[in-house]
Amino acid sequence: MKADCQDIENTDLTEPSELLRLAKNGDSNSMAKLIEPEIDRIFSMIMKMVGNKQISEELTQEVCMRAWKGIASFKEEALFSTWVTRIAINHTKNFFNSAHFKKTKATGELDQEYLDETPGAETQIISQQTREKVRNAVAELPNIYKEIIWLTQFEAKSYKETASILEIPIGTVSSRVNKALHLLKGSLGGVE
Amino acid sequence: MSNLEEKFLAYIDNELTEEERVAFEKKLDSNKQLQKDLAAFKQAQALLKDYAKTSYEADNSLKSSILAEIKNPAKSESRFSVVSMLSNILSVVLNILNPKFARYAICGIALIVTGITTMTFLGQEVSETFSTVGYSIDSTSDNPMIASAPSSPRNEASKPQRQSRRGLERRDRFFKQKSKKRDNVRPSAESVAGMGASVFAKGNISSDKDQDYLADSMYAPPSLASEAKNSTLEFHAEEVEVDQRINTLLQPEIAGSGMNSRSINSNILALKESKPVATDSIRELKDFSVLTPDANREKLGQYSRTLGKKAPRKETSLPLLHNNLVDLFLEEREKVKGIKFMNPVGYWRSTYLPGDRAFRSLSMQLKNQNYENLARRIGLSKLILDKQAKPPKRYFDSPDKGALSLYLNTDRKEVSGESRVLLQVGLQGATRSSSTRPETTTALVIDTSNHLNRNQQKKIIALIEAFLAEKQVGDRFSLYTSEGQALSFDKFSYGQIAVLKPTLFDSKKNIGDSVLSQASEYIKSLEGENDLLGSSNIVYITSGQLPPEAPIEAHKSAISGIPVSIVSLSGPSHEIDRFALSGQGNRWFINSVSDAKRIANSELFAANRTVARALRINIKLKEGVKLVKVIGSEKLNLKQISRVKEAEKSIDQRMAKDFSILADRGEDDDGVQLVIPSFYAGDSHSLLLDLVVPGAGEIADVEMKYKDMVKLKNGSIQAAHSLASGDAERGTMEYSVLSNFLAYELAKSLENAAKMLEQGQSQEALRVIKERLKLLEGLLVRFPKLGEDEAFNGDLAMLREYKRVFAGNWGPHSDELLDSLRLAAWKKILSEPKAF
Repeated sequence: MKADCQDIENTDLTEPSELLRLAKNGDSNSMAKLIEPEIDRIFSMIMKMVGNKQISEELTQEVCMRAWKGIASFKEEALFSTWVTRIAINHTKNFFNSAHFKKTKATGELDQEYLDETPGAETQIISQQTREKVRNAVAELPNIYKEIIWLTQFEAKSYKETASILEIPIGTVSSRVNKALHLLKGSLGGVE
Repeated sequence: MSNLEEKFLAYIDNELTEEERVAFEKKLDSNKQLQKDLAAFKQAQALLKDYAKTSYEADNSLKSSILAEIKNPAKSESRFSVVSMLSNILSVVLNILNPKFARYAICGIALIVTGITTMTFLGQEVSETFSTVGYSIDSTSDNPMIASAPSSPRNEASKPQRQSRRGLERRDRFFKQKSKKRDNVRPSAESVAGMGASVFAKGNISSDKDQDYLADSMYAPPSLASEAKNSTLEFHAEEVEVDQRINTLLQPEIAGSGMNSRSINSNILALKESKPVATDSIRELKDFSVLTPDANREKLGQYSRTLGKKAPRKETSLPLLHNNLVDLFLEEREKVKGIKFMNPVGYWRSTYLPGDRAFRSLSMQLKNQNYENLARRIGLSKLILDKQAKPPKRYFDSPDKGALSLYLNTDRKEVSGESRVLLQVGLQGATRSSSTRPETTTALVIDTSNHLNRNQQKKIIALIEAFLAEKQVGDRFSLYTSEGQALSFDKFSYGQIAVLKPTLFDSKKNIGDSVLSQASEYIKSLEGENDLLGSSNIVYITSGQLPPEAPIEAHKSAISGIPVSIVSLSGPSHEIDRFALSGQGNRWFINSVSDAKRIANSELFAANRTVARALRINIKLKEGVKLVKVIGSEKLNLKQISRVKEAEKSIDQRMAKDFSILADRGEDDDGVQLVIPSFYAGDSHSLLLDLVVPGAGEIADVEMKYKDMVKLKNGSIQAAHSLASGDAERGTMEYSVLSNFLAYELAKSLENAAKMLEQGQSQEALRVIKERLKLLEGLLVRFPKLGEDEAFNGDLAMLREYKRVFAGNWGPHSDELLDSLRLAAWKKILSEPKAF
């Protein structure tokens, strides 16, 4: 394993499949290289779902560690990024089901949104109030619709990608999206 | 769900039959609630779409924390916590006993801690670390989400991660304590500075601990800096000096503020990324000690902006995950200042050269090359080298009508402020049916100057019969013998070839000096008014040994408008290649009589592949948009421009004469102009302009004029491109533009490597290949989407093969390698010749 570590630092073996092989063998450098480009994406995705910076950071960290912990069992049937997205979705779903979420929700902690600390770090198209409303409305949806909305609407994933992440047929994705939007129209239909 | 709701969803999904849809829309017109529902549905959809545009960026501290945790999980923390606890207990006990002795004891503990952590981070195996802290990697589980699925961040399964985060906080507290004690605990500074120097020696700062050591080195006495200078750490010695100067200024404030040393240090280190600031504005650094961390970051941003650099996004504590080449590449793609711009008016060389004879010749030559000997020599079972090269995937639809379609894209979706952008002008040719072809005038010239054996004679007869079989109404085929006798195919009928055979191969007369020119003249006399340009040709059939004058005759015929193709009855040779290049025709090898049909068909349909002629592309940049360069091309000089215009005008006039397509050329336009003589069916091409745009808004107008060979009229397409404001991530189209740019760059590298190899500088060639490979691998890590293009993965595999070959002993195969590199370079830009 050590030889592998040296390989990665001293030679040109930085192909993702090679990194994956090394990471699966427990090479932390390779895992760091694989996960680093995903961190921003995962954080942004979770932040859009949760809306609280501190919790999103914790969840992002846990997702990354979970990926590291489970990399040996990653079968490479999908892209690494897809696999990590799947972990993130499931982990965030678990968070929404947790007592911790309900408690923080009740105390209003969740509403402390991410504050822009670095210029240009955040692109805000709609107001904070609207963002909160969108997030809350989606959070109220049953799980199967919640994840569909996260992926197809928040993450702008294609139906094909969503189907691959959730391991369901494309037709099911399409019908669930419409059903979810149908459910959301009550809570979001009147937001200006 | 009610029936109405079901209908509603089916309506949204477009799943209703026409009848149901009409019925539902009627209902919609009369039902106000339904109308409201539909509006609300659409509003919800729009809101979600807007929300999707919101993006968040993870803090650098989070990134570094995750990466540090992966690279060096909680082992260090547990040690920190244990040692920290021990040191605290010891400190209390010793303070009670003897305060003076306590200082040295604490100092010793600090040294042990730093020693342990240095060992830890200089090289550890992850599994060992995991086992130390009680992690167990569940390798039997297929799905990590199910295997470990915690129901909440606070539950047991997530404990190790949470512990580690807390561990970091504990460590911060530990360093904070250490920092507070520094004033009193001077003796440890030298040793700690030594640790800092060891971090420098590594050449990068790869963990939080490194950062702390660097910070600690600030407290070292000045003598250490000079020691470092005398060692191999010259570069870092300078940094130590800067650190010490900073320290001199900051020390009183740090001691008084009680701030977390890590946050101060991270600010200083981030600032040091641009050393001139650290050196020139050193006094201003004092501000950092009294500002909050957020204000510090803002301050750093201000400094960076003053220098025209981006705000520091990455802390230096992040491991260097990619090599410098990627950074340099991305830096160049971001650069907007200090660039030499070109005047965006004039003619540029076309990058679309499908008819390039050298390319076609090389492609044919290497078509069946399997590099067996080369592979064996370097100990591989097989090599495919250039066969993996192909242009990147282009997302251009074929035109619905006419011959061509035009697409404008950029490598960025949105920009904020002045930005560097690649503008792609994408061309896609129509895929025409090959069932019809223009009337053709063809002369088959048989070289009988050398003895032809019975097998060769059979092949020639098979070829004549194959041409006869392909003959359509209006075609004028003739057979030209060495006797200078032209026999029209019209006179042939069954049995006449057999009659002709005994005399056909009798002649021993040298064909070279006049027969080709006679054949060429004969063809001109047969050409009809409506013959399509390029539909007349000569097919020269030879046993393989060519008379020395033959290429010159072929060249003369080609420049008079009649290309000469060659069919060799023996294997490939340089003479055959030279002849094909001179005659601007195709080159064929007939190995058996069964090849005859394929050759006749391909030769006759070659002219039919052209869907557009005389393409003139004019790109006008909008005000404020500056041209850096046209990728893969160069500006033409006056002599070259006059040649291009001459060729364009001659096609224009020929089209007017042959097809009554109104002549419309001759005038110059302003803007970047490119002329492409002909565009082939089904081909796509990408022209790339490297630009600096002042910000969001319109960037260019593009106009393309061409002679449409599908509709036989003048064609014209106008398009404009603009960029929205924002920071949206690249999508598929943007990655496609980037891939095309990388393809041009790769072609350049391969061509350079070939040049080096030709000059005997194989090590230089290897360096070029290695650098390109490293860059592409680094970019793939940074932009995994690039890997979705099969061509990109092919490039990586190809470069790895070349690297392997160059690193091995290829012996006498340098010519093969040279040809392969050149062909690969071509194939990255152009589609492989189909008509060859």
